[in-house]
Amino acid sequence: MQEFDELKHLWQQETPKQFANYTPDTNKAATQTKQKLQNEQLKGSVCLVLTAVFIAALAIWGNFNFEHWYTYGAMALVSALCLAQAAIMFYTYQQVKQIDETAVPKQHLSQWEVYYAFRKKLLRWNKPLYFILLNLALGLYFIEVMAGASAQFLLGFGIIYFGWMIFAYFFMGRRLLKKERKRIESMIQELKQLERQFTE
Amino acid sequence: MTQQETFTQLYKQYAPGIRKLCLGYTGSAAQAEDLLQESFMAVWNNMPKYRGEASWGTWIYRVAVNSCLLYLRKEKTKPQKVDADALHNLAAEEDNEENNVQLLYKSISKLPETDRLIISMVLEELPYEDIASIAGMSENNLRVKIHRIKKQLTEIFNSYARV
Repeated sequence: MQEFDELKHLWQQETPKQFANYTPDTNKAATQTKQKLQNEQLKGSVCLVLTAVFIAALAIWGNFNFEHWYTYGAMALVSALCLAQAAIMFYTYQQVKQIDETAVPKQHLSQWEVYYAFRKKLLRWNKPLYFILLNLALGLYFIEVMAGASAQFLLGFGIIYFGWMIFAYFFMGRRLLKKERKRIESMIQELKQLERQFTE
Repeated sequence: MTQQETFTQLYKQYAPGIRKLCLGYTGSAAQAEDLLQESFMAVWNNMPKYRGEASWGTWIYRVAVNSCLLYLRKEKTKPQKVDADALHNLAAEEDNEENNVQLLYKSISKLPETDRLIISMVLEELPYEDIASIAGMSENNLRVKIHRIKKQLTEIFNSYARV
């Protein structure tokens, strides 16, 4: 039968085995969870802005000489969608950046909870809307671009394109969204439970 | 002193205690090492924010506690369940200090997550005032909590050690 003081003695006698006997490499500080998440959002946002600028530049200076306004409209829509997604990613980056790892645990957990609640809300409308609008823009773009193609080519292209879109949306997309939603919901529950442990 | 020099000094001073905190929390030496690195990377990233309102020790422990609480939420670091059989087997092995220490770590990992962190700091003999500041609790609440956790941990340890 051990008393607590004996357990304390046991704890203090023990020096845990060290796997790494050196100071952590601070050049790898970007791989820390929060920093990594922050960087992913920022880099994604910058890439999307560059894509939007590239598509807009192609539409303006690309000398495509499209006959229909809606083909340019499609390019503008893709560009605008990239900018909108970039804004969302930048906002997410700001949200992660504001999480204070030096705050008291309850506050820190609650900040992550707010972040995950935002992600959950975003998941509900952002990805489906992005998918629908992007495909609408691509559909509009292909009307003129494919106008000169043979009927056989158009049929083959249409089957592959729409087949892939339906598969991506209904099978892959929905399944992934469901999985992600479940993960976020369980994360929120766990964070709430931890917060409660600090107040009990 | 540069940030790198301060960091190296802080690591040397606090890494042993934080390593034990991580070991008590995860119950796995490999995960504890990974978590120690994660905690000190968070320390490095937040060092410019340090204003000296608390001691370096309290501040580092708080960052480590926050890192711990998120660590097990990550998909790849989901906790491995410590089953009762493993603990019984550990207890049935030769009664030496090494086995008892392992049994202690495993017993700690049976406690609720926040209790694991608090009791690890108590075992490390951090002053109650510092633990209260790290955990963001009043000292009175903390004392009540610690009393309960001590009892619970001793019961878990003894229930396996008796086998």
